[in-house]
Amino acid sequence: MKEKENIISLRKVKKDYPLGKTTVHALQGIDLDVEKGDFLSIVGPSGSGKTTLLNIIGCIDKATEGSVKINGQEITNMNDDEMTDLRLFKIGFIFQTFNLIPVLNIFENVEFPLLLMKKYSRSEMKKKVDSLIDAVGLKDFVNHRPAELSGGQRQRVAIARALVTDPDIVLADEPTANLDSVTGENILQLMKKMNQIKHTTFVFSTHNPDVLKYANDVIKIKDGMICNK
Amino acid sequence: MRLILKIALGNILRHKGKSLVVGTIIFIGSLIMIIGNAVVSGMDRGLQSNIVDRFTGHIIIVSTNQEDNNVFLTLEGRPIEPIAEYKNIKKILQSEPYIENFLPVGINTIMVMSETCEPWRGIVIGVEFDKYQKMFHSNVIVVEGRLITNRERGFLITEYSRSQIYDLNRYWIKPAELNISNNINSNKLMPMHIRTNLVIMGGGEGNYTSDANVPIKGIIKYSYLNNLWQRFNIIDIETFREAFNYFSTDIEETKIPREKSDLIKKALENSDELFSSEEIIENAPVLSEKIDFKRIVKESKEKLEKAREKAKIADVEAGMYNLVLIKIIKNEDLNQSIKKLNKILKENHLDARAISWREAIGTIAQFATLIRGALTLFVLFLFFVAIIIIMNTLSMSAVERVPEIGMMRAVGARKSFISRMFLAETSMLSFVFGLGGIIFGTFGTFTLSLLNIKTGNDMLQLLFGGDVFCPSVELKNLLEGIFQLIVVTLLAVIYPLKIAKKISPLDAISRE
Repeated sequence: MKEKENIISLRKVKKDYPLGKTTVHALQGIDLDVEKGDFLSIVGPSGSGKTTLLNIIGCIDKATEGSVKINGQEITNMNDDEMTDLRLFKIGFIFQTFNLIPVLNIFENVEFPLLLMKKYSRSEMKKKVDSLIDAVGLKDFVNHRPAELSGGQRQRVAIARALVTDPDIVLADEPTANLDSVTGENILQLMKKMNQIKHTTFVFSTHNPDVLKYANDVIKIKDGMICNK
Repeated sequence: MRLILKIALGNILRHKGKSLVVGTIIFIGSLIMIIGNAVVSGMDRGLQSNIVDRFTGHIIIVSTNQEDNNVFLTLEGRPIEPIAEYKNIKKILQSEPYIENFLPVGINTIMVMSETCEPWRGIVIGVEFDKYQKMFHSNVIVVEGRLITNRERGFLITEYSRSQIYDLNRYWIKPAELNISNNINSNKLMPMHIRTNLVIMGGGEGNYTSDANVPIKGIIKYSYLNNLWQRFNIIDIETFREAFNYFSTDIEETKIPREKSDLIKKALENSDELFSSEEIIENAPVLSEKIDFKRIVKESKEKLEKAREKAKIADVEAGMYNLVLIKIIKNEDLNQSIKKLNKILKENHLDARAISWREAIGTIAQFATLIRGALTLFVLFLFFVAIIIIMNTLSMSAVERVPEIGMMRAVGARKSFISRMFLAETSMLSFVFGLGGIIFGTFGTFTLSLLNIKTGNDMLQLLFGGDVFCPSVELKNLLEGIFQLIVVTLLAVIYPLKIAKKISPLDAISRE
């Protein structure tokens, strides 16, 4: 019964990277279930496999072995377009380096995934974008370009962009790594707030122990294996 | 689409340096492309105007026995086969709707005989001169003396041929009706033998030939492409036939002994006197007061003139020719017209086949094609260089934008979106700078044609398509230019697009 409520389900997931004559075993048989609405943190030292795990959950990378189900849907055999559509409709991303489109203003950056979806009318899109920009506190910056914003402000834009499509899952790879502690704290508070309001599942990686207090659940990962949960 | 255009425009403005490099190459490429196309087009138009309209016509009918199609610039001495059934060919040509005009001509090599020296060999066109001038827009202009009038016997020799004959035989040719004037080079005047008549003989490998004494009526040159056509002297068709022993009294080629021919000519000349002497009529015995002798004589003379004219026309057209030069109606397809004509000639079992003007002038057309090919190759080379530079710049741009493109892919942009975005960027650059190049190219071409650059050089004349450099941009050139621009854009974007499409969301993350 509990299996059905899992929004993310990984079984014996392995990921190998060939590196010259050797092979790097980034993940070595991960089993993981994440429930809908969870606020899960993945922690571990650099090179432990946090980002690889997030990439596989986010349909950015494919597992070498094992089964990956998102919302009950097996993704290991999907083609590129199917994976892309899954990312568009089900998953939101927050990157460490924000990764906004430099030539678009804040409104347009947030609007970008909605335009790709081709699902909403112009007025619906405007309403959604405006409300999210308001929610992340950037109402006065809608016409600014990313280069005109601070790091914290850019990460807020990234959060708004990740949430604008009403995804089931938001994946954040060290979202506070490039921010000062105060701004990082604010970002985590914002993510938590969104998690509570929209019941969106958040999975984020970090190696900052201060941010763990926000997490409902923490997974420790080392050498490609989950140490404890 | 709005999003793609917005991102594309934003990226162009963001990477101004690269955009300017790509744009400048596209601009210069388009500019040269338009001017190059205009030169080729001007050359084509010039060749059309100066060769087709003023010398050869579009289609040339030759005998089926004629092996070499290069009938205008064949080696001197190699005969052009005669066409025996012009009357029947004429009927067909008159009935074909795509034919605007046609003219039968004789063309072959003659020898100008000299008692003491080597005979001079040259090419001569035997033609009804008034019709020739009408068909070819009075391309022959007189330098000394005068042109030959309707069915008058006479030789129009080019300045070039006269000089050649002088160099060979040391005598100077002048029109019979011209006094030696001051414009003759005084160096050549003393000591100088003057000739006002030439004895010519039809030359050739297997032709029956005969000599003909022909008066020089004028020294001529061609108003367009004189360097090319100066080897072609003109003679009336009857003298031409005499020289080659073609005669004209029936469809069949008939050989008439020269003595007999002279007698017939003399008889025709004297027959006029029988009716023209009013003295004889006035002194004749009066048979009846009612008889109006003057009226009878007048009527008889008129009848005789008409009969003579009719006979001459019939004779002239019944005789032998070597070629029939044909102009087709504007915008008619040349190849189709040749096909149709050949079909009908074959169906009627006539000793004739149609060839294009390009085939008929052989070497010149080949040379023109060579020049055109060289120009096209040059433009293609420019294309190639432009494509490589644009491709390289865009590829670098794609590599530099890996995080941005990877992020787009991560948030849900398909590969096709990335392709469209890249294509939009390059297309925008091509549109703005390419259009600029086309506009400047058009103005450049216009300015070049206004400069009225002239040349006397044979090679340049072929490149110019005439004596004056007159490149012209036509709608066809503009459409060609736009098409070439699209091709360059598409070819230049293929490789960068491949790079951009390969960028995965993972690449964006791994760059962090």
